[in-house]
Amino acid sequence: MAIIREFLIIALLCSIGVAYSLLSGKAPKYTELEAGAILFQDASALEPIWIDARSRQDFEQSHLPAAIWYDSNPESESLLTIFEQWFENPRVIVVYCSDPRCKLSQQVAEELRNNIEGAEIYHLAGGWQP
Amino acid sequence: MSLSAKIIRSIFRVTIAAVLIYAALPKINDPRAFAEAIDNYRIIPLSWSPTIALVLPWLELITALALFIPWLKRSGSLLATSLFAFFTLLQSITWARGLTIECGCFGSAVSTEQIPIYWRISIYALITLAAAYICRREFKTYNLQLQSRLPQQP
Repeated sequence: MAIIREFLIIALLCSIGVAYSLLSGKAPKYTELEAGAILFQDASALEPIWIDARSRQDFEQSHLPAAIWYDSNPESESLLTIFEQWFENPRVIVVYCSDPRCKLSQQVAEELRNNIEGAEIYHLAGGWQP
Repeated sequence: MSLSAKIIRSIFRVTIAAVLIYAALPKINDPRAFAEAIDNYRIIPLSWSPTIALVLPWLELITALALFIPWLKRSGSLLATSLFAFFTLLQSITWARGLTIECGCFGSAVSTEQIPIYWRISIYALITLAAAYICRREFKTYNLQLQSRLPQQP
């Protein structure tokens, strides 16, 4: 019985610690992935074609290795470049922007889905920041 | 118990507590990074990792402290043995699955990527043995104390 009492004391002390973490706002939150989203670690494991949906300036400052900058201008050749890369070596395409609330990556992913038939396209959950 | 056995026990106790505290503090400070490290193991549902990331570091810290509190030594040593046995098993499974991921053992502050996984397994296995030794001694001491409290037969 004494050992059970010891474990209960340890559990109580742990609860106090957990309560402290919760109150200090450090608790991690689980957010359900929305349709078409992918986590960074999952995406990295797939060695995808990275598409940078941020501004040209942000892209030039830093970007993920071998990422392609997506120019939303209808006259640009971004779509063609992406299609060529995918056609040469078909693999997953992941679009990212910088902010978790940024909707641009979702819009670009949708645009790519409409234009590249058969490709597996996701937007990066949480965005990417250098 | 001989003096050398007492010294060995103290060294083991301090080492185990130091490893547990060193592992717990960065994870208490940044549970989000630890939750990501747990997710990388792909062993539990993603929805569980925030809770584990919140509870496990505190359990490590309290276990480390319990190793020095006289009335918590038994449960502390038993928990330490269980924790390190679990970590050894987890690393072994990770190795068997061929995953090359960051251990996450010491939070995001310390990278263990440079340490080959078989070394990590060996270190954890050794610490498990040391914890098991302390655990055995604690239970033995407790039983002896109980026996000495029993009324002597005439």
